[in-house]
Amino acid sequence: MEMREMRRAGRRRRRALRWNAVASLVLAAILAGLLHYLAARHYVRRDWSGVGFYRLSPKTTALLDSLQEDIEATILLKGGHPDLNDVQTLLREYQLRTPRFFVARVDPDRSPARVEALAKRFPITEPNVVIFAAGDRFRIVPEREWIELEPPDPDAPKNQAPRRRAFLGEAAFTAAIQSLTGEEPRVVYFLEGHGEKSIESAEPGFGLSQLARLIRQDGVEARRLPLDETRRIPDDAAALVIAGPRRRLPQPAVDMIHDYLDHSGRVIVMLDSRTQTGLEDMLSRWGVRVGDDVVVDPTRTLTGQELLVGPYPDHPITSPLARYGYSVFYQPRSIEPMGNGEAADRPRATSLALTTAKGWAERDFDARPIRFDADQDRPGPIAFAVAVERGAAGTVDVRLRATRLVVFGDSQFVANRSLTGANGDFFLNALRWVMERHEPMGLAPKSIAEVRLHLTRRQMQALAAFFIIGWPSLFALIGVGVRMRRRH
Amino acid sequence: MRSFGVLLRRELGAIFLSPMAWTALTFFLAVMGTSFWMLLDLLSRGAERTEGGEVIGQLLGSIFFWLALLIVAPVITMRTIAEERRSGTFEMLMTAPVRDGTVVLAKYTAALLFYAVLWLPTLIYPLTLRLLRPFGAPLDGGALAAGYLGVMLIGAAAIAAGVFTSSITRSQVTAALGAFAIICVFFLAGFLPYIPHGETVARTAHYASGVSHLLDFARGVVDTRPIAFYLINTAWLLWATVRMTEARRWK
Repeated sequence: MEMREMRRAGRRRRRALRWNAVASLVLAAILAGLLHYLAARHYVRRDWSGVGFYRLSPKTTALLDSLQEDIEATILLKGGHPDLNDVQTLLREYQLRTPRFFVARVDPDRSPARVEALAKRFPITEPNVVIFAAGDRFRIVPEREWIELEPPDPDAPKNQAPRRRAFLGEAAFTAAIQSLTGEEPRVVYFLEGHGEKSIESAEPGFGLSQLARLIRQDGVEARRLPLDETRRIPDDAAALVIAGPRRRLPQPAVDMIHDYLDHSGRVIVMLDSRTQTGLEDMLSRWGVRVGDDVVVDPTRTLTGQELLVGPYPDHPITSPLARYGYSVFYQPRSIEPMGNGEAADRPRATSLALTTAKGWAERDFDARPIRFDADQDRPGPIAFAVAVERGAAGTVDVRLRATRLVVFGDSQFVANRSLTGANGDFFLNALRWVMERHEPMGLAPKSIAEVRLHLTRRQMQALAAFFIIGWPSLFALIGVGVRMRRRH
Repeated sequence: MRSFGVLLRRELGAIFLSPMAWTALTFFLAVMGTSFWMLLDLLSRGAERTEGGEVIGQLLGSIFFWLALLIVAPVITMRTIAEERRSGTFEMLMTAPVRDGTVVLAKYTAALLFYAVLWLPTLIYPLTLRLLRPFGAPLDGGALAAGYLGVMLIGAAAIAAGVFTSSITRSQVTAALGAFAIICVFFLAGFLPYIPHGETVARTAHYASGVSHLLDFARGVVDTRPIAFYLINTAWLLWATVRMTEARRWK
């Protein structure tokens, strides 16, 4: 009787202890969960490596810390793309910095449906891009903006990919995020009605539909502006583009453009040779001399029709272009700065594209063969693209924006047929510059080092024998030795 | 404290005298040696671009590490408690005037020390790389240190999981299989961040992804989040082990 009761008491006690254990395990799990929660929120992240390949610069971290809305990045890269790991790792550093930034990757080979959905949402024009989106604003960064390749080696085998020289991911991505912050208008208007090239035309020589896609991909809306209807430049215009008018603009239109510029306007003008548009005088008031000529440079052409540009002068528009190679202009006219004023409210003009000293401005359009004529032609270097800024710098009112104007001596270089080399980026950078958008952040590219060992086949075999067999066997022998000693 | 020292010495002796330990060490070095040789082969072809830290990523953060960990951690830990329970020596240990916590901690520490010993011979790899004088980026000392830190942290948690499974069963095989399953699930879950998901899932997956932790460590990034992740899990598993042994004492 007593025995049974003792047993029962023991059983009860055991059961209580078991429940006790289970309860405390559950409690411990909850406690661990809480600690995980806290640890995930409060952290320090340090990079011990000497290279710091993915270390974010203070500019990037400051930008990420100040984000007011969520930014969503989508990496659209195939598996096995040479940049995939770098892009992914770098953007993960962004994501780990702030809960406002989120990265996803889409593999076009594996999920064509998601690519299609993306293509519906964003004007993707090429594979291998990273899309940054905040609300309905977005910016698509193409591959060439984050990687610098070595110039192709003529001796290398044909199918060998060019070696990657530097990774500019942080500069490209941070600038893209920067351009998504803020609420300024993002519509650029293309003037129409005077024979300008049209953003809706897919015609190879006169259409700008490819350029319009590039602009949209950059997160800016491109719209037509038939000036005859409206008679004024819309308030939401972030910039106005005049793409190669063939006819003279009526004086009220010219005055209106001048007035727009005078009120911190943003304008890109492309004027072809052999045309009179009525803009020439107006531009001279902005420090730009538009020549009635054709710029030629025998050292920078293949057929005489085109003019290769590069190296470029040092300017925020042109400095990044060096990576993309030459731009190609087609019989441009001379566009030159007229000598800059000292006062802050005077426009400051800078050349963006120049011939060499061997080029000149040809006055006689029909001369064959074209040659330098000392009486009427001006000797090089001759500029055919100019950036003008009339700074708000020095003025008391900080809200007053700077006026920015870029004049190209050619409109053919952005036509559908001609968007090769650095042409598209030349225009895009000019547009970004006038819109004060996507300013270069001054983030240094990370150079990509190649590690190479020089080992002969025999050496490799010896290393295999040592590391796969020799070195492990040594420890097996020690083990045997230990057991032998133990037995004796 | 003294009893901990005695117990630790007993455990270490048991490990280093078992043929299993030396087999594990040999197996481990063969696997890691293959991994290292493949890295050398890659570098000698020169096709792969590799930054200073990336070399260490290839060395420590490769699939070979996980392969080795999946086998080695259960093998080291499976006998710790299960074996003693089966052979009956555990009752002796439990009736001795030491606390359960001390016993578990001594067993765990011994297993962790053996795990560290496993890694010691691998230091020859970075040394070899330095001796071979590769053209290009040299080995990154910071990344190397961080990489080994990551390897130890992940190992610490894996071994805690092994000791835990060993405490809930009498059979070594069951214990080893249990540990293998836990580490395996953890390893596979490490790939979750690389699969598309919603935001919350992705962030949680990143927090718990051993694969991405190790790659981060191996390129020199030391983050308190993964460190905390492994330390909390280690502590929790060890505490659970102590509770399990306490509960079992009354069986």
